Amino acid sequence: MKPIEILTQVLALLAALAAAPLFIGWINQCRAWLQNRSAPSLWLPYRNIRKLFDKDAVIAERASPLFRVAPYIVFGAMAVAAAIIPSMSTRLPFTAAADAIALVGLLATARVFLALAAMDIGTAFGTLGARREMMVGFLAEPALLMVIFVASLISATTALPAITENLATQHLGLYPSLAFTAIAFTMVLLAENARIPIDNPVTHLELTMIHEAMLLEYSARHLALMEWAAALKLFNYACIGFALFLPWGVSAAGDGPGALLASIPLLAAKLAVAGGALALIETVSAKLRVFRAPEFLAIAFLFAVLGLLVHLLLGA
Amino acid sequence: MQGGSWHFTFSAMRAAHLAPQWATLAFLLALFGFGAKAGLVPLHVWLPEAHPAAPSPVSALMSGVMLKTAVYGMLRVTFDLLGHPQWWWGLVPLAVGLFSALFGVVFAATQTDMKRLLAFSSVENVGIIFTGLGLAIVFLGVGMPALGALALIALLYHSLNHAFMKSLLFLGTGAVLHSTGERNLGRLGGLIHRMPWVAWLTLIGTLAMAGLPPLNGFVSEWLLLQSFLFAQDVPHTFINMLLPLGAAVVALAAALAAYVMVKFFGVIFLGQPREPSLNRAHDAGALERIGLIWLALACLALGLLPTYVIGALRTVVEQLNGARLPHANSPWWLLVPLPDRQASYSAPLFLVAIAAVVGATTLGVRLLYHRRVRRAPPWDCGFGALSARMQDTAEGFGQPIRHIFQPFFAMKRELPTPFDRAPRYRVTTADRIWLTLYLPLGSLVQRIADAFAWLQQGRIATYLLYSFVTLLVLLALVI
Amino acid sequence: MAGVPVVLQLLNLCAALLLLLSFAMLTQRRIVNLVNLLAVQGGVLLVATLLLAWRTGQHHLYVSAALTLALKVVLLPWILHRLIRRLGVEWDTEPLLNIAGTMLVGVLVVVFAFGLAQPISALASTATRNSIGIAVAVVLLSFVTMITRRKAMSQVVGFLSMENGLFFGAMSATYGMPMIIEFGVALDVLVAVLVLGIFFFQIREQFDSLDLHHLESLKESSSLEAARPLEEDS
Repeated sequence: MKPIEILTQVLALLAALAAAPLFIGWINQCRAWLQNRSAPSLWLPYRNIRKLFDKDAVIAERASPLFRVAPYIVFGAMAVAAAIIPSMSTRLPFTAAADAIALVGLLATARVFLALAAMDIGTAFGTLGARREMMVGFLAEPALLMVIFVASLISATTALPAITENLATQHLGLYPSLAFTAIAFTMVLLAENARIPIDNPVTHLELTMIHEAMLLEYSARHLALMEWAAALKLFNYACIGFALFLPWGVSAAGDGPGALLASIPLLAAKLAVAGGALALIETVSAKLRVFRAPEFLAIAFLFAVLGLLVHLLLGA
Repeated sequence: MQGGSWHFTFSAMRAAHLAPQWATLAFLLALFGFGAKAGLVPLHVWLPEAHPAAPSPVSALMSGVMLKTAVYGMLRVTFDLLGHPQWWWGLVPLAVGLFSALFGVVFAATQTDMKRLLAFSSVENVGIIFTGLGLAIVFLGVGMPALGALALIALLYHSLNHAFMKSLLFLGTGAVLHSTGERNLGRLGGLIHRMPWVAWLTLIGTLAMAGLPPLNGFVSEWLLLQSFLFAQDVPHTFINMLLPLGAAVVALAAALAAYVMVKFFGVIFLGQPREPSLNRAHDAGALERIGLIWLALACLALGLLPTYVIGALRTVVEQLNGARLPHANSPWWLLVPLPDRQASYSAPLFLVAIAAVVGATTLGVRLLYHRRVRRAPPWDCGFGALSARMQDTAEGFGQPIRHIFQPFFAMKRELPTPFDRAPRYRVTTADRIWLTLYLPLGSLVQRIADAFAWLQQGRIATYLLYSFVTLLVLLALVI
Repeated sequence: MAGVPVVLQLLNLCAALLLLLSFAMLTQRRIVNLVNLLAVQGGVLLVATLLLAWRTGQHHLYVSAALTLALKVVLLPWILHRLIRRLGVEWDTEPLLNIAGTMLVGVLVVVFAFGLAQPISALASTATRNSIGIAVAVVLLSFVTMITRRKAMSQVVGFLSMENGLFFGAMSATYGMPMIIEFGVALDVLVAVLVLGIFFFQIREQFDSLDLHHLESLKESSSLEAARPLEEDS
């Protein structure tokens, strides 16, 4: 392993950690602009996290050690996931240890620990949130795996950087199969990250919460870690989307450090556009009833399967 | 027998060359028989009744080992005795396995008895094993031996994994049962405080069963998904389009398994105790702990050292039908099943990475931001007086599954009206297959038996007459 | 996919869009949206015909495109919308049960159609022969749409969508049908829609609703039980 590879690996991780709250801030700004409100500061999520870290933690009387350990595990899983996704460079030596399916497994780990922590307190809200989150999860995971499958079929591998490199070198053209899978991926992104139309990230009504209900009991540094992990999850999903559907500009093996530096503003541009698009989708959609969420995810799965079938038939 | 000789030894059966239709019949009959023993749908109805009735260590043996003897039998018959399986045979265990996996896990999600939940989860895992078998037969039949070997290794690995994971979970439930006397999920809860050893060791089993890296459940799932991924090279048109959909069903079953495991662990060990008697529960004794510990260590080892396990399984598969998995020159900590496809997984590295990041985070937070911790009552939304009964019951946690997968269940609901003095809500979910397949068969057999009941006249003279007539007939035949 | 000409890529895109629209029609609840989706389907067919005409230089395809525009994009949706307004069913929704099951059936049907079309594609000599599978899939999906629906308007839309699929199949297999046949089919479809419109008024007169389940009471039953009107459902 060459030093430049270790450097890019660590850089990918640190950049994700640093940029994730900024991405959330940007999405909130776009949403505010679209809704004709004055926007909060771009750096507000950072200040929130800092403020939360500085507080004393209040933990429920019956919380077990699992409750206190879960935020660290969730955060760790998200951070390791960020190290596998080729956001700026495909030279990530750690991906030899974990391919795209292991990435999905990591996201599942985070989800399971979050749900267990929510069940730990034993109130109605936590268990309600856990139940709903697992429901969204078990429907979104096959859809996500199908999306990755289509990409893997086109590139004949399941290692995410190899997929990115393969797709980046494909002839530029219209691929209906990738278009369908892109739509499926966007829907899965909305569902897994608790955005409208599946869940409202700014709601305070407990009976409508999915993700927020699991964080109700957390405070101070634990909540800070959970919020950061949620921001990281959205950032990771966005980067997976770029790696699969907008793979150009990512520095590959054999490029010098100049390519790595050049990929950073390109990534920033992609994130800006993606954030704007996400804010637009959130603004024009209404939140679905909880039991319409399976239909939503079934449609996402259908799009992914259609993409697969169109690829097998048309070769496109 | 069709092969010509009347010897029932293995070597004779191997030597016999059967015509294709007889071989097919033999295969299907073997699948029926071994499938019933393994618990494939629709022959699974005995599993949820038998496994919970036994003491927990015996249930562990039943789920872990007894079901796998059926898998062994199936492998023996298909690859050893029948010789060269035809590729389309594989579609039958594939379809039946996928359906069993989905059926088992959907039913597991709605159970209220912890052992029945685990029994249905065994049905699911057996379904996945047979899916791998079907896939292996398809690959070997169309002449893709490397992928066939991969599928066989995946199913053998999963059998091994399941034995350890399920045993761990059953022993955990045994400890809970021994300590509290309760099997019903509606009367458990909050046991992580009273029984920490059992809880944390069962957590390892739960995470392994949910298929989370870096434990062992993930490895076999990963191998199975890898073999599905390359199924599109199969040269038959419908099949190469349907097989990736099979992968999606496997992924769905795996995700549902995670749901079921969260329910299992959460309702038993987390939350508040649902009965006051649970406060007297005691933790596991030394022997129980040893039993749990060695199984948990085995799960960890199977998860972290897949290359050694695959090395052992590889020779098994080669002996079975000569299919060999290509050797990769990779170090012990990196699993590369098919070297020409760039897919690899390294569990030890994975574990080290997660541990490092979690450790670094903990250290960082401790050093920079260590503030105090204060205990307080949980958030009650202003209601006050949240009781232990207000948390999710086992039925409640399974309600989304029941709602989404309604066609699978035969459900009876009693709903309260606004005018009830003592409103009650009752839901019973029953196995539709039991009601539509077995009960009619049972009543048919009963009717036939009743029709013959006239033979039982009750008078001694009549029975003597039967013996006399039989004696006359035999004498006439002999002479 | 290096070197595939742009026109062919666009045609593949049109084919994929057609498939998507058929699935959208399968799961669409509102009747007005169904008719709009049908119009969009006609539009995609128009674009595909124009592209094919430009690429192959066959002028009869331009005439065919004009016919498609006049009939499938403008006239038929207009007639259907007018019918909807006069029948007063603008806000009707179809009580679709089990969307996931329907979609699963749809996926299986598509796989069947694709597998079926592969040997046919091997025989055809056009550049768009891979899309024959999609055409067959559209036809079969429209059939499934007709089966799973209860409202009369939805059945008409399914029927018209089937015709669209056949048209696309003809285009991708043989670069269009002889003009006589095309005109004949177009006339048939137009007349069918007009006649069905008249029928719908009669059905509504008789049963006070356009729910086709009411037609079940027209089966052979004892005269004492004759045609008992079912409850009104919206």
